[in-house]
Amino acid sequence: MFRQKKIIAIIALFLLLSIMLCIPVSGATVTQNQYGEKVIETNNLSDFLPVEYEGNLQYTTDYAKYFEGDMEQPMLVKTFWGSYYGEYGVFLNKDIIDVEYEMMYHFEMPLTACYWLSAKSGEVNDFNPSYISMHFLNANGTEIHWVTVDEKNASLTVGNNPLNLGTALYLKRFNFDFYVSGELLNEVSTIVIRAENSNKGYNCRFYLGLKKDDVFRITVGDFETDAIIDNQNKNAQSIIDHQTELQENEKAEANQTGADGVGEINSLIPNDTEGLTKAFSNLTKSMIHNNTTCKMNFPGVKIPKLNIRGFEFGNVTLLEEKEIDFEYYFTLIPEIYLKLIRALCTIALVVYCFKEMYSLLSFIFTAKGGGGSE
Amino acid sequence: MSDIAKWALLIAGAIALIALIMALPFMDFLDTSELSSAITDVVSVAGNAFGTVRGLLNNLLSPFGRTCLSGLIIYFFTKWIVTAGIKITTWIYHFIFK
Repeated sequence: MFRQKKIIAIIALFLLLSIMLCIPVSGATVTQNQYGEKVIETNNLSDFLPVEYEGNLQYTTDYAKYFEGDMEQPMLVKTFWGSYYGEYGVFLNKDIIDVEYEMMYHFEMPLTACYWLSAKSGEVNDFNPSYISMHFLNANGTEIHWVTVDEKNASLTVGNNPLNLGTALYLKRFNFDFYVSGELLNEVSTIVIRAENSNKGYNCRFYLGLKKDDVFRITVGDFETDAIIDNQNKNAQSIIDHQTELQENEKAEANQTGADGVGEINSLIPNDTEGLTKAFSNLTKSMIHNNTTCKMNFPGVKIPKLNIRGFEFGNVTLLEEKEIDFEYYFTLIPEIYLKLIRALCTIALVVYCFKEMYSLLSFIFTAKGGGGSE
Repeated sequence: MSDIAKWALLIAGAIALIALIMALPFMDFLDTSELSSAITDVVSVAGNAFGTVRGLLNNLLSPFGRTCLSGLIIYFFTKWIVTAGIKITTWIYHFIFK
């Protein structure tokens, strides 16, 4: 009896293992190419799940008609839309990609399986689809690594719209390599391919489509050393850039905190020079005062209130404070005389300036050098 | 003594003189804010009066003459500052080295 149970248990375990090995977790197939590299291929859209950043991102899966010449071909299309149109992306399960330490990854996407970001016609120029990046997230959804796709590896075309939506359409194809290193990547749970649209709020939609023969392919292996080093350098540079940015931010914050602190200390020290500085500034401004305004306030004359042995008198205003505008009196002078006076005074001033300049120049050219001879 | 050493000594001497003035006993009862306020008042009145006189003179000059006068006043002011600076430096130099 006990032996039968043992046999049944072994068979059950065997079956369980068989199921785990045989039933694919996703639609992806994993093979090995002639170079010994692992090739992961999928044409199953269920491997691409929508990324919900903000708002309610919805998606539908539809069949669309795609014409290849005269032949009508079916195409499966996932359409994402929502209240937030700033970022779009798809999850790729770690089970599909299986990020390995220190490996070269080559991503290859068919054109139709690229990001399609449609916008209303006339607004497409506002859309900046150049920024496509891959973000590696851990189980908590925290970003632990990223790879930016540069323009060399990604191509942008304004393509036909297979869904016939009547809108301008950007197709972004990205076949790119990246090198994975660093122990942090052991924590990778999901990978997000993200396309960013700087034009938030417009009615953009994000499409991911696969034709019948389209295959999304990831090749994993030890590629050429040069390529690995090159990509490693790129990777290191991106990390350095990110760290530099963080340091700059910290520095700016520290400077701001320091400036605030200095400002607080300065405000605590009584400053007796503020009024003085303003007064001197006013004085120097009056030197370059070039208009003809000349008003002056003459103070009033007043006898103060006096109380001598109970007898009160005074508090009498002899002369009110008065503003005199001298400019007015110049307007009373006939125009011809005023012009003449101005011309004569200006000539006298210019002559004086020349005389002063002459004395200065004659001093400069005749003065003997001082010092140096002791 | 080299020129650089002399200038360094001169600057140090100038700072020391200022510190000496600040350390004098009358600084204890001298209200610097009142002094500053008094100077401010005088400078303000002088500035306003100067502006009025400038306006008055401007009425007697053509626009070109007004600009000329501004240049001339700035020249005199600079000349006065430079002359005063040289006098102060000479005095400190004399005080320290002679």
